[in-house]
Amino acid sequence: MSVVTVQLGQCGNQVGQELFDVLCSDALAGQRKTYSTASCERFFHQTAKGDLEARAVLIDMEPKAINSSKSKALKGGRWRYGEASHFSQKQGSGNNWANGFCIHGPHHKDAVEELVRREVERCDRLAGLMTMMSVAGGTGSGVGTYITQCLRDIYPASFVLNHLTWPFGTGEVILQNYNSVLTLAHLYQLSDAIIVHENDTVQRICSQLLNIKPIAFTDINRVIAHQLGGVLQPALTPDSNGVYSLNPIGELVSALCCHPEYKLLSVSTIPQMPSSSVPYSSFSWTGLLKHLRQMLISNTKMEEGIDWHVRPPPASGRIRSAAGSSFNTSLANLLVLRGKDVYSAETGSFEETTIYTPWLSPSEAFSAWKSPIPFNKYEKSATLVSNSQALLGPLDDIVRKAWNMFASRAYIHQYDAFGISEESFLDSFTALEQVISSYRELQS
Amino acid sequence: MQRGGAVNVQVKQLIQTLRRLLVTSGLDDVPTAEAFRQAKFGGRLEEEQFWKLVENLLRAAGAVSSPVKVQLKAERRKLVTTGLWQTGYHAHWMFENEAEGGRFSCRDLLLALGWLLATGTLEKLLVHQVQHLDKMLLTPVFVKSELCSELQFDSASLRRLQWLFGSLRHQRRSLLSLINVRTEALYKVLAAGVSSSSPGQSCSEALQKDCVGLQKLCDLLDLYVKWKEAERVFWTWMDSVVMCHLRESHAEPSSQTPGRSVTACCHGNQALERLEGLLLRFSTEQDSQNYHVEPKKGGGAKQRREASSSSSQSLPSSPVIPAVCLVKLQTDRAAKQSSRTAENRHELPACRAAELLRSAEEQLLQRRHRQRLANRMQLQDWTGRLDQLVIPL
Repeated sequence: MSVVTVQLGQCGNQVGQELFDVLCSDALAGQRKTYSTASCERFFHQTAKGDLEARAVLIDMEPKAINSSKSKALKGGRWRYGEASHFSQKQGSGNNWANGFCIHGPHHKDAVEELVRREVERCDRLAGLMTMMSVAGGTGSGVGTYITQCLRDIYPASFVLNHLTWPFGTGEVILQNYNSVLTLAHLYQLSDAIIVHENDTVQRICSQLLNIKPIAFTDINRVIAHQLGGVLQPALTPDSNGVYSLNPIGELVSALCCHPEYKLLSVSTIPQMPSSSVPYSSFSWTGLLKHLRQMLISNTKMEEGIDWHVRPPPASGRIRSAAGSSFNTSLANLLVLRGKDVYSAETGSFEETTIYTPWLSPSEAFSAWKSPIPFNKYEKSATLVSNSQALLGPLDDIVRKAWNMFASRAYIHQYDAFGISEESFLDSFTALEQVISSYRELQS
Repeated sequence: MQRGGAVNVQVKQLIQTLRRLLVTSGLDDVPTAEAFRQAKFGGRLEEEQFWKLVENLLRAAGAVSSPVKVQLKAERRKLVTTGLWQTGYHAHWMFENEAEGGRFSCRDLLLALGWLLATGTLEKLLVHQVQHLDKMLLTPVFVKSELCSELQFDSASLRRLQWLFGSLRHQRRSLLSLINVRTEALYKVLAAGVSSSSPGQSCSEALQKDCVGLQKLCDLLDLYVKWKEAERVFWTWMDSVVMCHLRESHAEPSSQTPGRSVTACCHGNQALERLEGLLLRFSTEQDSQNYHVEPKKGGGAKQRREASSSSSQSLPSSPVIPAVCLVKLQTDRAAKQSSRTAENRHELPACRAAELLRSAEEQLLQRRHRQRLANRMQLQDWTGRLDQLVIPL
């Protein structure tokens, strides 16, 4: 079953191109026929000439990012985008969510839907739809939200997964917090699951783990692509009956996002190191999983700077988290293990009751997928997709900053001009406060 | 008479449907409809086939799983008895030796068959056969979640319920998607088979085989639907079999209840005698244990004595159940009449007997618990003694 990706805005198109690059190079590496077939079927369409075309639709209100992504793909020589699988305009959205959602989205709805429909029809079987966008700008966030709404209407039985890139905290765009709040509040009603990557976190990974200097957006996008690839490439799941799963998005959503108030997913991968160091390193599953577990419970997004003093609370007498408590309670976790001796990996430490919310048992809250095929040149790698309090802090920051601006009604008129009133903002704030409150209550 | 004749024909047809259903579900040697009819009156026609039928149904239900086919009659009887016991079925013939003979007949096996049908064994058999015939059947993925038997109205329970509901919703979507995939695949296969002018030999053989399998599946499901539509008639007929059985089992001299239309418990007094014996035995064993407490180190003996004494002190008197006690279902009027006559001092109304039995069960369970505790302490004691034992070299 195949996944159709919709890349929206500059960020979505750039990250998407890196993702398909990683997926293709991983699929074609080595003599791994079954894995390769499954991966190519999932993400690429094979033309009559045998070329691989990404099952993707590229959308932007400016042509620059789309052209760049297409030419990079062509330059790589292993895959490309479909000739007609893109839509762009001459004028952007001005970093205004309302412009994207209320104007561009409805205006170009038919054209975009047609592109997606064509791509879906090229699939033998549709496993789900994945959108990729940022929340800071106008096209990715506004048009992306509108398109997600359309996809939900047209394909009500399909799973919709949104991948969001959250902006730097220090601010790339002055309206980014407004755009983020409006995007998240709307997507919460439309999406089945929202995977989040924060630019700040990924930048730290580039700097401290990968030793990249200076750090470009390409490097950040590659790290995101690597982490996403670790989740999306074929794997053996508990429900797949001994073959690579045909329903990856459905199984991911079922494992992590069954509750409508908990849809935010964070991703951590281990190991991550400069590519020059990979051939000289070896790891044990025990060590990798020990680090990954501690990263989870101490809310550390990478394997450096882990706080080993953080421990799960005792099973009896759970208390509400006081401000400053650093233990990260999980609702559900999905562990994806890839590589050598994967079946010998002991995952019991992720099944302890104390790391989960009390109302869900570890057997329901924890899932593990495995693949004996090493991923992206790492002999062993583990990716954790977590529905936990990890994003509570960043979300709270975004909402707080947005509210501070809204309190003084700064720039509201720019949204009002396109049809987003103060009332819409208030509804969005209310919705996100509810999400924040739900995540805060996870440990009680 | 005509109406009765029509009913008989209907029953015969229904039993033939049941028979065909059982055969199509993969069972061999199902008794004929005539054998079923005769079994009602206690005959032993086709007894061997009735044994095999019950045995096969027990295997389908998973109540027994002997890997070897049973050949000897005695072994089969033992297997069937064990299997029926596992399913909760009890009958007097299960505790008798075959040599005793007694009143055993095919009707007893017919009643056991009725029990198995009532407990869903036919459906289990059907599911196995469907899975065997339909190669493309999806194995359902069961949600491994447990709901608390008592609903609690707090926010945690509500969130858990919402999670489970969401999980079901996602599973539904996944299943719908897989069904669409399967339908498309089937369509492609059929279209390829129809449109191809000279299909490959292996392709057509495979398609033929699939067609045959699907036809069998359709036949099976048809039969099951027919059975379900007329199942009520079968149970009405089974009621008449039970009535036959009860009448015969109480055809023994019973001067206590002349001319009264009552139904008596088919187990007679044997089970109650056994229960009373059990109760007496327990109280005897408990008493004898009190004299076997040996002085031991520390609190061990004291604890045991306390446990024993507490258990003996708290030993309530067992309920008085007369040695000959027939539980009878009585009409209200008959009950009133019976309470006035001396002849009825050995009879209990069903509700009273049920009460007595329930309290006896409770007491037995308590005694068992205390006995286990005492045994455990004794074992610990002995283990302690063994630890200290020094074996001279």
